[in-house]
Amino acid sequence: MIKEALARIPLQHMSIVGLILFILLFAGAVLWVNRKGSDKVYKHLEEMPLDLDSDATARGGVNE
Amino acid sequence: MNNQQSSGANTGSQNQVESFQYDDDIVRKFTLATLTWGLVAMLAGLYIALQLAYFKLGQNLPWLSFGRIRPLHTNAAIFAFAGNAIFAGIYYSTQRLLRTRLWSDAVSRFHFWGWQTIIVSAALTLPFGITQGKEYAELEWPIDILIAVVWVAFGLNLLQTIRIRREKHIYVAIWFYIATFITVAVLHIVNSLAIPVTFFKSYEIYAGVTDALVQWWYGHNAVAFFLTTPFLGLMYYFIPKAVNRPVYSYRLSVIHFWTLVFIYIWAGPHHLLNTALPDWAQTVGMVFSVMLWIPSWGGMINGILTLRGAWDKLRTDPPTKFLVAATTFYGMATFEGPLLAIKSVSALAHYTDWIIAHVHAGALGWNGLLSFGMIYYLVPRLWKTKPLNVSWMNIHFWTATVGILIYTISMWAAGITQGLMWMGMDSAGKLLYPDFVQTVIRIVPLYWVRAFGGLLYLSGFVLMLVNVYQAIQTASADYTNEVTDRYPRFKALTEKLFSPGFTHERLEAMPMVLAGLALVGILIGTAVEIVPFVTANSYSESIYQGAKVKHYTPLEQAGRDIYVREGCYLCHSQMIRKLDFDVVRYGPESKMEESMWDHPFQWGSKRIGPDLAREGGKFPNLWHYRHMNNPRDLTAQSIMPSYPWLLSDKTDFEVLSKKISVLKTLGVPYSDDDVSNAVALAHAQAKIIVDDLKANGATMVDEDREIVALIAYLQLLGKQIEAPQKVGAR
Repeated sequence: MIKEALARIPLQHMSIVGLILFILLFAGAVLWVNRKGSDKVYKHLEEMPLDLDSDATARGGVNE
Repeated sequence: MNNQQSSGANTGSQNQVESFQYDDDIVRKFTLATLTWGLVAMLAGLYIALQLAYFKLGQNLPWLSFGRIRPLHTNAAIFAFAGNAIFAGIYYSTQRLLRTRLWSDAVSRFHFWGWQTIIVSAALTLPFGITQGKEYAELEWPIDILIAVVWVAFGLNLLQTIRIRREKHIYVAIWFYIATFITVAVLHIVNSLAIPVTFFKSYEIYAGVTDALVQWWYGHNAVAFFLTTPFLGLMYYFIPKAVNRPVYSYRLSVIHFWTLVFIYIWAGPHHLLNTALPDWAQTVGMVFSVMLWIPSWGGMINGILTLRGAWDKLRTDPPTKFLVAATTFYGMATFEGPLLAIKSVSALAHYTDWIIAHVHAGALGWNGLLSFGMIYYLVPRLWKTKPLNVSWMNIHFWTATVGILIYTISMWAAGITQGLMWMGMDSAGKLLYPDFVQTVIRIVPLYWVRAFGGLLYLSGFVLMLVNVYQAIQTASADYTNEVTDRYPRFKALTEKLFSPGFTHERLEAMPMVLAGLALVGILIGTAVEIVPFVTANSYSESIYQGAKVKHYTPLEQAGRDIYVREGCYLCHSQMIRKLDFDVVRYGPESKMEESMWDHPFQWGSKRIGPDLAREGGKFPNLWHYRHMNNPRDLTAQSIMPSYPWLLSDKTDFEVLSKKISVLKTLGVPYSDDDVSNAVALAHAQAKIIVDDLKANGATMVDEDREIVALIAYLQLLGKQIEAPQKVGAR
């Protein structure tokens, strides 16, 4: 039953289906990252690796 | 299980500041393992590069033959060198980005020692021909199980560390790590499914075209999710750290992540263009490969532009130089990859050294240089050493860069030269270079050039080892004292998540949701590509109604296992593509039915020697006997190694019944009599071959010699379909 169903899927259209899915995902991601109020979040996030308070090792020792 | 050394001062009901220590000991362990295995991987690579230039190297030593050492090189480079580098970088950055110690010291150590055990097991089995015969997935089933266990331990440690974090937000590097864990787990488990015959031998559950698709779904995405996504995570952490600038665009990094994770998984079939794989799957692979340009270059540009305002670091800071050069190589390799995935380009490049150039631009340039930059950054911090020797780092940088360029340019030249020679036909449709060896000897000088490029790269790496060793000699006496940090306790996650006003911020801070979405992203492409092939055998049979596809006799199967053991697939394809110049050279295009009983498939990915799909009957038995003993006896300019041990070593007949029984379980249409009489059937067929060999002048040949089984297998190739193909049935 499952095999028969699979055999009837028009597989030649899969590239188009995938392309449409990708465009939707891409558009969704672009909208998502530009959502209202995201500036503050991303400002905080992009600074995370640079937060020296969290990288005591960089100064070779204890950070207290 | 929590290893936090928490003691804290209360600064308020919501922000209890805690002190805790980072586990840098585990990072040091993985760093040293990276350097150790990097040397092994590069030495093995140089060795096999020299073997192609000078075939006598390692001659007559089975465990040093090209077909056995090449998998050792690839496994060492991918899983030992790059793998340990990934773990070092992930464990270092994750702790700092999440402001917490790794979840469990015990699991971290299990992860480390388990991974090293896997690597040592690979090094002890591959040279002895213990292999499953699938590229980058050669390791036998007991090691596969260990890989799965250790990988799950790594994932558990990662996810649990995320759970106990003090920082609410999850930086994008961690997203890449999560995607790495999930996808590699899925890839490894699905691709490694096999039924054991003995402790050192198993058969994959997939066969033929299904096995090919699953293997390249795995192989391509091993590159994607073992050699790309974790390194992108490291790029997003270490470049900003090295240049002390935030990433150029965090928004772009988010788009980069989701598009990359979604697209990559679909692109596997580009390894099978123009083959017997159905056209729709090839087209999907090609289209999605071309689409990969978008996220790959988005990420590359994001990494490089992080240097805005700090370009002088390229001149003054060697670790930055390595990190940025690595990102540049990432851009070049990910431009070249989609280009090679276009069908017409693939027609020229596939099976040639152009692919080898592409792979090494990624491995040496992207993975290698990024690992070096990361280690140069980490060593003074992990061991509290004096600064490393800057001049030596600069020399390393230039020897590595020039070495990569020499390597890739020579292999581009070799690949395009040989590809064009294979394609060359005159106006009458005859091949311009009908003798395959003509196309080989033309590129042998380039193999020497390639080896020189590899030697340069290795020389720079040795300088790095000395530099790091000398630096560690200056390590502070208290370097093992764990680094203490302080950070406010993160309010209970569940309290945040289920409070009113659920917002996007929280979604991006939910690791399990992120992990779930990433899993869905990869499963969509997986389902589309893999599931239809579950039915492949049934519809392939319908194409040739009335035709019968022969399965292997016990002796042929024994010979096939020897073929797999010796890694013949690493130099010989068994896939005649739907291309005129392939058909004219080798015979009718390969049909998917012809390999439908092949556990595993042996289509191959490289032609250092000619395709063997229709080798059966081309030459008499004695030709194969003499050829395996010394190829130069029949083709004076051949660079193929000699296999004299096949004439003296004995085939294990006793295990044949068990092998046939397992294959029967997997769906190969053996009868019960075939299983119970496997040994007798094998002896009977061997006697026919031996009689023929003796009648034609061979001496000292017995039925139980491995050469006899191998000849039986080779003589069947291309003769699997018994009834003529029905015209117009396709």
